[in-house]
Amino acid sequence: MSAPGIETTIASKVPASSPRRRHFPALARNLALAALILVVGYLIIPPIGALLLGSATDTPPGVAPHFTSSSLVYAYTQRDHYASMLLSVEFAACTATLVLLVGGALAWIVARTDSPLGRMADIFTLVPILVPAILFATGWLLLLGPRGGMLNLWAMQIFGLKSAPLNLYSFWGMVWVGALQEIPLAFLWFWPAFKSMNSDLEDAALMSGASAFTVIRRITIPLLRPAVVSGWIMFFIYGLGALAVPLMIGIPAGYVMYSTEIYLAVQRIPSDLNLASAYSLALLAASLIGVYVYHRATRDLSRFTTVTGKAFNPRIQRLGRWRPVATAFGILMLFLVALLPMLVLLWNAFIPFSQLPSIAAFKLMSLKNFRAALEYGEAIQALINSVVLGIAAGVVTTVLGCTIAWCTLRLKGPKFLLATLDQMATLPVAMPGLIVGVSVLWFYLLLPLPIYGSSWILLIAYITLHLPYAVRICGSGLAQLHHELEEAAAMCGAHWFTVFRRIVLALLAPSLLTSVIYVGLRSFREYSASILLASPGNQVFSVMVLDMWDGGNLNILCAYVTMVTAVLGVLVALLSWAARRFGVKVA
Amino acid sequence: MATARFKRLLQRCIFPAIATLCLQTLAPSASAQGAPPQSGPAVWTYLAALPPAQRMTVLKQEATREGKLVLYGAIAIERAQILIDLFHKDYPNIDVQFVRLTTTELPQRLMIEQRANRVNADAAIITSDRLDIMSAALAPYEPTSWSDFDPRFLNGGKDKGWAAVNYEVMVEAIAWRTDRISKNQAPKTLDDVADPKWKGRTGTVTSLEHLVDSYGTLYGQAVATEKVGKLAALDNHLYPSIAGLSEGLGSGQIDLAWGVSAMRIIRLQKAGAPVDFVYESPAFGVPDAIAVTTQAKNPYAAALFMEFLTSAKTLEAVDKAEPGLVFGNRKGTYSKPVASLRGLTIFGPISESNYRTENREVQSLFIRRN
Repeated sequence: MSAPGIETTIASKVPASSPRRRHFPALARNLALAALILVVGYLIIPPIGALLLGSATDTPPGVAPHFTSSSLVYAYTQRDHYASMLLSVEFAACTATLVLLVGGALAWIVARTDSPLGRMADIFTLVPILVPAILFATGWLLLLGPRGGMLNLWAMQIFGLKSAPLNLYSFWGMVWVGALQEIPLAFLWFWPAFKSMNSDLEDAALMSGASAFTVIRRITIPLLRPAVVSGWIMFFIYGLGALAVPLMIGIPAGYVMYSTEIYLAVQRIPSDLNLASAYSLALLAASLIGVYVYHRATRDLSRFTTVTGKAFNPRIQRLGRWRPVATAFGILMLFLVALLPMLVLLWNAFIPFSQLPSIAAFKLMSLKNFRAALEYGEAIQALINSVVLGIAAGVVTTVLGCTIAWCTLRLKGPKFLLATLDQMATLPVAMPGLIVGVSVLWFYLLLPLPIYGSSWILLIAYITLHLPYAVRICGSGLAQLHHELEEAAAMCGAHWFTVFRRIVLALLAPSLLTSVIYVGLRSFREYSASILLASPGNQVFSVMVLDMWDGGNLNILCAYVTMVTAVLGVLVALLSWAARRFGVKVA
Repeated sequence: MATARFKRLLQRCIFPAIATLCLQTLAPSASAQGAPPQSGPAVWTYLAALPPAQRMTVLKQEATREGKLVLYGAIAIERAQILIDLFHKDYPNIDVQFVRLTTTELPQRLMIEQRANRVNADAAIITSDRLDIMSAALAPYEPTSWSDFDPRFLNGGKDKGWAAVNYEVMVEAIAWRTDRISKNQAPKTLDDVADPKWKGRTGTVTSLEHLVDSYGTLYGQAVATEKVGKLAALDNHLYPSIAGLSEGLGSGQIDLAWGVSAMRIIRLQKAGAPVDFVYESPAFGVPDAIAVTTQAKNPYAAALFMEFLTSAKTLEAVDKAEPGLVFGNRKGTYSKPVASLRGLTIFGPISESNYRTENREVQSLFIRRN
């Protein structure tokens, strides 16, 4: 078994002339690795180059660069900026921790326990991901705003209070909304890890008399360390760069976050992309440190492998008297994460302007917003474009991400090349969408290829932006698979590609599917790069959402998102069903 | 007989030969006058030289040949659709492809395309404050209605190398919730809004650089700083857009909004929201401007669209579709004449240096609340 200190890997005993090495010679391996680095380089060098060049110059893209340190000096010498950086770090740390705790607990309840939530919870948790961040924050403002928040007004009426008991315009209000928004993604992050987890160690601990809590604390969580560490880092970095909550809740509350500084730099006349780039370097540094911490925390991969050459069967844990508590927690979370925002969305979809439910308001209800949404410009075509692009981005990014993760975790190649590949693939996590959009736009305007003005440019931007997520999700899954399965196949004479296809891919199915859904949904929601790259005929959903919101059509937007959520909810349900099927297959 | 033969010879051979010779001699100059240039700066010089009636004839003919135009716009799709539908009624064979961008991204994209010599846009609609930074990409095309406009609605000009027309102006208003503030109590001027009794109940937008700029011009720096300071002391709820601000008022997040567009409040009123407004005094207007791009692939269709959008007939139709806007073409009759807004200040293109100073002040007072 794979307990620390007990594991003896077959890899260490395999001689240099093992079948695996015969089937994947060093030259071919290095060439394949170089080709992979070229592909990743092709994707990330334009945005990274733009970021570095932008921060070291004071000229806009396309103008002969004038090198100066003025942007860097300004960005890192203002006291205000350090205050906003510190605030962002606190916000991101609190959000990431809360997201992982709740998302992880929810995934565990659904995937590993006998809670009755199992059937529908994953669908309800996935559906809110489709709700754009702006709309999600607006929904919570309508619920918990200090002057017009529904829940506050009701609480004041019921308890005879003079002022609102809850104020969303606060630091913890920001953490609350920021965390609720990301919990579905954390659920997705953990779900494959729980699904692919062998329960032999847990069983052994239980047999030895350990309590369920001790098993979770001493066995389950330590075994999930790759998923926990990478998940926390990803959500932390994402929290640093998140914009909707800092803009819509932070600014009114008087909190200027680090991402707000980037936003304010971009909003200037003319946009100060140089300063925005200089600010983004701190995010880039945070991502590099994050990758380093991840590798330090998971350097002995054999400690986290739970799927070995032996047959395994993920056990459903019986919660006993804790079952109602776990179920109640799950239902509460589903209510807060999915149902409440969806109800606000639905209510606003039927009324002409945002208001509290009342008899007068009920009389105003109609289907006008739905009709308006269907007739709104290219709303339907944009939805189709986004679905196609989301699926394509999900699949392509996952294939690339899985290959990169496999190379960095499994391939015995030059360490420098492997480390470079891993670092390169992680860098885009720190780049604001707008910077990626500007650099991709500029790069393909110069390149004599028919990419600018087509849907391909959007696909390339989505792959670039979301590659780090695919690498980490697949990496977490791979960390759970022991070498010995692949080595056993290789010993039996299987070609490396056969090993990859028949062993790795087959066992990684839940992680791969999660990665496809995760990247697909993030691409579906992405707007800062999309708005720069969309052209006539290839408008996308997020640009329509931004247009409706920016144009003051909140209620039409709610109707549009309600319809989209209904349609895509079915699609997600189908994918979820497929995931179950894969999960059963793995089990 | 011989005379008859000579006549036939004249008719069949000599006259046609002379005619052909004459035509061949005259043809190059006729072609030079008749065939309009297809692209580049020559188009704008050529069009500017034509008398208005002839220019319109050429524009219609050439625009029909081009058959389409790409319009970059920092206005909502539904608002652009109103303009495009009106255009299609008159020119059904010219396809207008609209690309939705924001006021931040439009100049970015256009200028990057311009530097790469691959401009996709034929025309652009954007708030006039951004015109200065994208002027290098704009053509010096003045529509035939140029002289009909109130000069406050015109930007640039042939002599400056670029031109744009504010085809509509959103006038800023002070709006309030009628279920929380009575009409008598409601503030009528920004000085009234600045009363500390409204503290914690007001909302406005994050981009207030224009207001600071205009206040400086109207009252002088010292008085302007004091007035702006009082407004900032209200601890305003800040929204990133005017649309967001009007939604905030409609949903009851705030009781009082200033710097909001009257058009948005009229829309809320039509939907049944308990809101009312007065125009700010002194009145301020945020214009949407139209311009043609200098590297347009379909320059005639773009110029025709600009002609159409700045005509009095079109602006009257826009006024009916979206009440609450003001228009500068003096030949039209509108629901809210410009003259009715005393001392209307229309925000114009803002220079980079002015913007930097005012941006620092706005951030310090309103956003960072130092």
